[in-house]
Amino acid sequence: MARLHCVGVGIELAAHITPAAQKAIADSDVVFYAASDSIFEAWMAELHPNAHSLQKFYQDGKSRKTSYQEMASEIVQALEQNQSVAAVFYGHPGVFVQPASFAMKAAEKQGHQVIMLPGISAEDCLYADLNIDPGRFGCQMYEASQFLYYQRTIDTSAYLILWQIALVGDQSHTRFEEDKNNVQLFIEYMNQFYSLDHTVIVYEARASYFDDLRKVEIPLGQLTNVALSEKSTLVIPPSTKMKRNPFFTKQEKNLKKLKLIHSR
Amino acid sequence: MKAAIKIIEKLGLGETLSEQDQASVPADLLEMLKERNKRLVEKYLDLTPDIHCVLLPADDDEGEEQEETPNEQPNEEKITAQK
Repeated sequence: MARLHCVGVGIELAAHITPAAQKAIADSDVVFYAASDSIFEAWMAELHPNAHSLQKFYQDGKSRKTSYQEMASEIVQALEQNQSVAAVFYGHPGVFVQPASFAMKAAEKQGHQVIMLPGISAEDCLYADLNIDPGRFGCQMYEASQFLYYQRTIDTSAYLILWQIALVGDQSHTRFEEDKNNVQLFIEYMNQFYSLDHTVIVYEARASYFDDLRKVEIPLGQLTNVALSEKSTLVIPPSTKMKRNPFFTKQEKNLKKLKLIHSR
Repeated sequence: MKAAIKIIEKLGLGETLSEQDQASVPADLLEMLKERNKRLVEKYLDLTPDIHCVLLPADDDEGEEQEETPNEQPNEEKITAQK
């Protein structure tokens, strides 16, 4: 039985890696890694003498579904020849990282030991950088295309966070750049729930010393005027106040009545 | 490469570069690093700028249990090790 560590190293190069992640990487026989940009990738390559990039599985025109299956396959195959394998991902390996999920399930089925080590995710950075507390008004979050394709109950009194807004409407899973027509379609859809002048935020976390945090506040109706990258996240702040739940209000009254009866 | 990455790490953490750090990379590269010129540093270090970081959401054919074997995908045999 071999051991697979799925390790998160956080969003910002070197700044977010935990001691547990460092140890798991150092103790592994072989390391596979997926980074968010070239500098991050170069840093990850230096984390272990036997480190291999998974980036080669991404190819123009190739479905990301296929790429992720191939990445997982590479990781799981390494468990046959090594005692300890680490699959290292930027961010958190359990948050929106399908190759890690595929590899862990397959490795577990083969009887290998599987351990996930959390990392600071883009979501964590977003709360810090935008000073948003998801516990205050609540928070819904979806991948932007999935959000568009499926019926969701939008709560306009809570924050709505949409990941990969640049790729909204991409059913091919092959694009890496925004399609303004799809973004326009998204605006029209969202206009059913939010006014076009409702301020939304386009956010990108800082990945390394070379980057600045990106925070663009813009009315929803002008979203097509902002350049969106695959790293862009859209944050829609609440547009309405929270409403009392009539079911609970009724129950509360009943409970108060009961208390009165029992206190007599 | 290793020395350049070490400097990027230190600069990212807001640390001051020692004389030893500064001497560990060529002067022109050091200048690019200090100026935060990512494109030039990538070119100097011969790094590929086309790195992708995208996620793939589930579709309506997938449940938690089926996640690793969506309909259009190779079956699980293909993502396990070849014995």
